[in-house]
Order: sequence, then C-alpha cells, then structure tokens
Amino acid sequence: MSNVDIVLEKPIKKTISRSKKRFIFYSLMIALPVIQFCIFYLYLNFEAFTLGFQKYTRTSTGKFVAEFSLDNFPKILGIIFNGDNIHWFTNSFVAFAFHTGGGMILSLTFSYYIYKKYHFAEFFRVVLFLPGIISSIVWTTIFSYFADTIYSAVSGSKLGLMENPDTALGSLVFFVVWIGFGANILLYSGAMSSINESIVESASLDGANFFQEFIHITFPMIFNTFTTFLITGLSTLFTQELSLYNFFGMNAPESVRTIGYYLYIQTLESDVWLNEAAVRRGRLTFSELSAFGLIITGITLPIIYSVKYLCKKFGPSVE
Amino acid sequence: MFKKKIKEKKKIHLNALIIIVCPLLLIYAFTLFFPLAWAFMTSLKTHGQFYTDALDGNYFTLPDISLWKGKSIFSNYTIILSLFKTGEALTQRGLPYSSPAYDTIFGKVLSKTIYPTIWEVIYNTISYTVGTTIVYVFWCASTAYLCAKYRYKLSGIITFFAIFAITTPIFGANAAAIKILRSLHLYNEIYGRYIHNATFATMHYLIFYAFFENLSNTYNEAAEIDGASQLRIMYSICMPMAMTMIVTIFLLSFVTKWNDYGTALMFMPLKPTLAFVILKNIHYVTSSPLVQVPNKFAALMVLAIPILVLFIFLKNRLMGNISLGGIKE
Repeated sequence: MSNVDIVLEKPIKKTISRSKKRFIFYSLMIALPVIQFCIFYLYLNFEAFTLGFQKYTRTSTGKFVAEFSLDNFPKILGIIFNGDNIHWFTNSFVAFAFHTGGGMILSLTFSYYIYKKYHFAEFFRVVLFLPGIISSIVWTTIFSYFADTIYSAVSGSKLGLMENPDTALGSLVFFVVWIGFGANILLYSGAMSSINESIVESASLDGANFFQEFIHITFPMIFNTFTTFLITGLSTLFTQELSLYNFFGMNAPESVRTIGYYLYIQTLESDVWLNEAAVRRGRLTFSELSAFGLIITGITLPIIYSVKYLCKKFGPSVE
Repeated sequence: MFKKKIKEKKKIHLNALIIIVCPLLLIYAFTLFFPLAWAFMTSLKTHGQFYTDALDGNYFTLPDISLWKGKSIFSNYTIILSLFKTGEALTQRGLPYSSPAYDTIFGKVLSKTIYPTIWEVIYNTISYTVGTTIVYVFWCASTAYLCAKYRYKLSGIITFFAIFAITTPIFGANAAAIKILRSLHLYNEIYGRYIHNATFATMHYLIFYAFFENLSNTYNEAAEIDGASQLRIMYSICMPMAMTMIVTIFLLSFVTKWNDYGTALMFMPLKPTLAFVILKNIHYVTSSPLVQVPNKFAALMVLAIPILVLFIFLKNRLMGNISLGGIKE
C-alpha cells in the first residue's frame, strides 16, 4: 500500500454538531438546579400538603408511624376561630395594611424624590438603605429601650409604649414601617431610572408638574415593578411577625401576636410527634402545622390572584 | 492658563414634593442616626456611669473616659468573649444549644447539646454567610443565563416555576422543610444550608434573567465562531458582563445572611451564628453579662459595625442600580 492509499483510508472524524453541543452543555448545567428545585420546592410542598393529612403515632418499640387522618383540620380550625385568637388575624391585617400598603406609598414617594435628584437625594438614598443593612436585632433592641425605658423616664409614665397593652401594637406597627424601606427604594429608583429621558422632557415641555409626571408617566412605566412588590407583599400577609421574636422571644404578649409569629414559635418547638407535656402547653406537631399552613394558603391564594387579575385589568397602560 | 471645569448645576425649583418630603426625610435620617450613635456612645460607658446617669434621668450623656481608670474604653466589647468561656465549669461556659433526636435515611441521630466556643461561632458565621451567598448567587446567575440564552422548553418551564414560586406563597412549609432536611442528614449542617438555599426561585433570578435576555447574542455567536466552548462563553464572556450585578446581589445577600438568625435558629440549632448567639443571650439568660445595658449595646455594635464598615467602603456597589423586569403575563 502506498502512503497515499494509507491517508485515503483514514476514517473521517465525526464531529458533534453545534446544536448538539449546546444541548449537551445545557442539559448538564441545568440538571443540578432542576434536581434541587424538584426536591426543595416541588417535593417539599408536596410533603407539606401530605403532612397536613397525616398523624404520627408512637409504637411500643419507639418508632413513629404515619397514618392518614383528617383530625388536624378540625383542631386547627378550632384554634383559628377561637374567639381568643381572632386578634391574630386582625393584627396580621393591620400589620400588612401599614407595612405593605403604607410602606409602598412612602417607598414610591421617596423613590420618586431620589429619582428626580432633588435636594440631598444621594444622602437620602444612603439613609434609606441603612435600616436594611443593619441587623433587625440591633434596631429592635434600641427601639425597645427608647420606647420603654427612656419614654417612661421622660414622660413619667409607669409603663413604656411596648409594655402598655393600649400602645404596644401601634408601637410595633410604627417600628416595622420605620425600618421597612431599603431594598424597595433601590429597585423602585432603578426602575424609574430606566424611563426614557425624552418622554420626561417632552412632558416637562408640555407643562406637566411633578405630580402629573408621576401619575401619567413614571407610575405607569414602573407598574410592573409595583405589581411585583404588591404581590410579594401580599405573600407576607400571614407571615408578618412584627419582629415580635426579636422583641419578646417566645413570650410576646397575647394582644400583639400575629399568625406569622404564632407559626414561627410553634415550628421552633415542633416535631413529628410530641409528648403529653408539650401537647398540654399548646404545641402543635408538624402535621398540625402543615394543616394550618394549608388553611392559610387556601385563604391567601385567591386574594393574591384576584389582586393580580385586578392589576392586569385596571392597571395603567404604558401606551 | 488652567481651564476650570464648570459643572452645570441643574436648577431645582421648589415644589410641594420638595417642601413636604425633604423635611420628612431629614427627620427620618435623624431618627436613624441618633439612636445608632446613642447606642455606640452607651457601649463605651462604664456600668457605674450608665446606671448613675439613668437614676438621674440623664440618658443622653457622653462616655466619661476618666471613669475607665486605665482600662480601654472598649472594655465592654470584650465582654462578648465571656459568653464562650472554655476550660471552666460547664455552667460557666455560656448557653447550651440543643437539638432533639431525629430519623434520617441513614439512621437515627441522637439528641445533642453543645457549648460552642467563640471560634466555632465565628467559623459558623463566616462559613454560613460567605458560603451560602456564593452558592446562591452562582446558582441563580447560572440558571438565569441558561434559561435566557438557551431557548428550550425546559427554560420556559423553569422561568414559569420561578415566577410561580415568587408569587404563590405556601405557608407552613417550614415543618416539611425540617423533616426533609433531617431525612437527608442536612439538618444541623452548614452544607445543608448551602444546598437548601441554592434555589433560583427568587426575585434575583428575574433580575439576572432580564439582564441576560437583553444581552446581545452576537457575543456568543462570535465566540462560537472563534472556537470557544459553551462553558467558556458562559464564564469568560457573559458572566463578566454581569459582574456588576453579580457583585451587587452578592453583597445584598451577604448582608442578609450576616443579619439572619431565624434560619440558624430553625435549621441549624447546633451551629449558632453570631446573630443567633447575641439574640439568645439578650432574651433568654437573666444571668448573662448582656443583661447589663452597656454590654448589650457593645454586643449589638459587634453585629452592626462590620456591616457598616462594608457599607462605607462598598456603598456604590451595594446600592448599584438593579432593575426588576416585573412579572409579565
């Protein structure tokens, strides 16, 4: 065989096509995030759902056995609709109204002020970011000391603002609004900065004042961002704790408790099965907490989707 | 000779917004700075000075250095070390941190009580804060890039689920999370937090997704023509373009994790972080040295000052412009 024949007989290397390379790379890279999501979101929520319909019993050998049960729901409905606990819901709604509702109005106003670069805008941008970066433990301890000890000394009152049942809830709501800015301002002002300058200038030439500009140009252009925050704010309707754990640990006064706080402290001391002493103290098992969560989710989801629908239907149009 | 650069100042006319909002924001700024400054000043006072002033109703005095009698004015800050005495009797070693027994797929884990040292708490804090943030940001950015640049059906499904997870709260899932983490032996482990937090179903995913979606495909195509692999394109070309955003989100997440005590409390009670330790000492121990007010505020300043220093040096990065595309139907 000549050298030419040897070269001609060499097999032609098969190369992988560009689209196949992309697919292989994509598949390998996306596998882990998808697996993590499947376990820690899909399976986790499935587990939360099924836990609500389970009851764990302890066998004589010490093992825990799960069996199907609907007993969790009557117990939880009994807790929720107990007249002594109805204030959890009202406190949660009050906290939501002020923190999310009031907080959004203030965030939009301050973000607009910063976006327009009015007096001291950069300084205020730093200041508004400060509460978000310092630990809530620091803020709650300082606020608690000012609201109770210093207030009592200055006013001559025997009880501080947080100690007085008449002013405790108001003080807590004030606190969460006071430190509730930060990242929202950053995202709102980021969204406002992306508005085309020529639109703003032409409005200004047409004689629009700051309020007209906000209503007819700025707000419609950032409405998507606003909707996102409104929806995520609604998600906190029953998880808002009013920083009660920071202020009081496990022993917040009954009058200021919210659903979020109740669920949090219950989860800290919960387990698949609890002994009689824990049950007598009012502790809930994982199954009962999951049932609680399912009921609360059933109440919240229609509200969220209704608001989302209303925003889409009646929200301002960019055109 | 030297031409002065004259900055054109935009003339701002007073309007109702400025007249109302500016004083409000100035008052708000005062209500933030004053208590922080007061807390810092209080942390520098001796116990004697603080309680004498309190009895006289003088809460707003400056620390008297002469009362320290040769000791450092920062002596209260060393009190936090006494929360972790080692080599002494068990009752003097600070607070116990306990975890109940539970079942895993690998077998039973027995109940445990520990008394961590200061170095263990610092290690827990740094490894939890830095590790969780790195894993989370890398995970989120990579997934957003893949979904934005590789338009397969799965990308659309992932984005749909990310938006669904953000907008649809599922309450009471913490109990199920604890059960799953225990089962997989990820409970009470810092690497368990890395894995649990490595999710793309957050708002930051939408931010990254919007960025990569708007990034021109020309860069990718040109690199492919030059023979670059997909991995090389992702990490050498596209990710560096998002570096400003990645760093901003990294810093924001780092700050959140540094201040986070709730997660440590719930998912890793045997790996207490600094925030967890300080909170527990403030609330649960009447015999703790943190009951003394100057010590309490010194401990709080230990929590706040590192983040404040980070903020001062990286202010522009932390507050860099990031925009959220919003949830499109």
